[in-house]
Amino acid sequence: MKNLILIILIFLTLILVLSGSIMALSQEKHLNMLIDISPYISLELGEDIDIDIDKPWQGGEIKESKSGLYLKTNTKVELSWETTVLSNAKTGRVLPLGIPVDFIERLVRGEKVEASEQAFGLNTFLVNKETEANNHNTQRKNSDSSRLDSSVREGNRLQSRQAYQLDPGVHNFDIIVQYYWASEGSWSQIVAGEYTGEIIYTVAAVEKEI
Amino acid sequence: MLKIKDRKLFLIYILLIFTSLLIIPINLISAADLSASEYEINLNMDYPQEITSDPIEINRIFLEAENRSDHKNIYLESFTLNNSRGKEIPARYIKIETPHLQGKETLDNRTRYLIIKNNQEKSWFKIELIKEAAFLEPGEYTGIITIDDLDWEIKVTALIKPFVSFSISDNTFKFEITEPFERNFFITDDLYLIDVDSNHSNWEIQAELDEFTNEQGEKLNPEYLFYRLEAADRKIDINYLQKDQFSNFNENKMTIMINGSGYDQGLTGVRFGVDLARESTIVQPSGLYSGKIIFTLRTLDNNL
Repeated sequence: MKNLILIILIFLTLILVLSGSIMALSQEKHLNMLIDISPYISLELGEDIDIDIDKPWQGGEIKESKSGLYLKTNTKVELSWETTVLSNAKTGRVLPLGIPVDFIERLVRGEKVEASEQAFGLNTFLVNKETEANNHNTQRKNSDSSRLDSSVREGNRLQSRQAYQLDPGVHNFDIIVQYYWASEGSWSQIVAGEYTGEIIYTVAAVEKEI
Repeated sequence: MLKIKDRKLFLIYILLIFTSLLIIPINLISAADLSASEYEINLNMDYPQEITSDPIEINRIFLEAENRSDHKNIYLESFTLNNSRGKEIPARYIKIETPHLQGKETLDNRTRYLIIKNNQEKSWFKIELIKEAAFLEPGEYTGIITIDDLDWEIKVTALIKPFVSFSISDNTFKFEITEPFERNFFITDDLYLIDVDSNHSNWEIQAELDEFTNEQGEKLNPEYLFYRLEAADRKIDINYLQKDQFSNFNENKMTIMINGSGYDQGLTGVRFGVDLARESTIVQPSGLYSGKIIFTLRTLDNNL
């Protein structure tokens, strides 16, 4: 048996040593190919949001306005946003957002809520168009994972509740602005006029874990 | 006496030795012994390397009996090597060496080469095929060398065997896509060159892709990787290239990327393309995708 193995080894050695003179019938080469795709974020915003309260005395119900946000990314990102204060350019007055977000949300859910002492409130959130297509606008559940909520800061501006992590992909959001003004009470505290502000979106790539 | 077991082993050993000799075609360079009645020089060439015959000794005693005592200069006539279709190995591919030349000289069809000087009894010569001869049409080229007053002719046989070998310009090729949302299809600026040395066109290079993965383990399917062949010396504005001018790789499948006839037409460069268009809301995640392309050169007909 040992002799047989020895003979086979000699045979293989002969083949290996002498194979230099053989023009192989097939030859193989390996190319290491590297494709470096840079991280990229594309953000497109929809139309401006106009809220027109032409009959301030006829309040008491939630209304809604919306715009869009189209985000395409090939890397994990964190999305956050905040509004500036809504101010009147002529007077410099700032629109107070006194009615808390949860007050508006409870109203949306159809709960009975005691009348607010405050005049005006905003609630803003993002919903993914694809997953929310079948929901009625005002019936959206805030527990829905596709909904990115905000909260009021310092009584005059909105800020996303957290930086929301998004996977690579195309995210087609509606930004919903729900607004409410009281039909009575302290509405008269707010001076008529045009209040303008901006929503500032921040999209930041998340450091990838290697 | 050998035992039965030893005898079997001995037979296996003999069988293996014979088999190995059969499958290993050793480059044979031989020159006949001029003391024999038939004389020939065999030069077998199966890849580009110079082949030189052994020194062929010429002695005055080999000359025809009536001329042996003349002591005149003996010359070798220039010769040609032709295949059965009359195609000739150009003289510039053949060299000759004698003691009366300063080193090897390219064969000149108008020259007679001094072999034995009038005061010499014997001398020698060698002939050589330079490595470029390997690129001539494969086949057997024969010719006759005649030497003044020599009793016999010397038959020369040069066997140029079909060969093909290839090399790649680099072992690594990097393709950077810096603005992946600018468009869907991305094309490399540079050509990747495949260098094939061959004396025939009955070969093909197949390509197979290993999976491409990035640092996070995300995959880039080979079906999104494309290629096209181009002439390396022709400038192409890649902005005018479209995806439908490329072919794509298939996962786990060999793709015939290039063949001998295409290569002969100058298609020696490979331009790669990557398609980043995806369905619906899916995008190809960013990252450095690393993969391997395995090129396999196959000779299609070994009986050339």
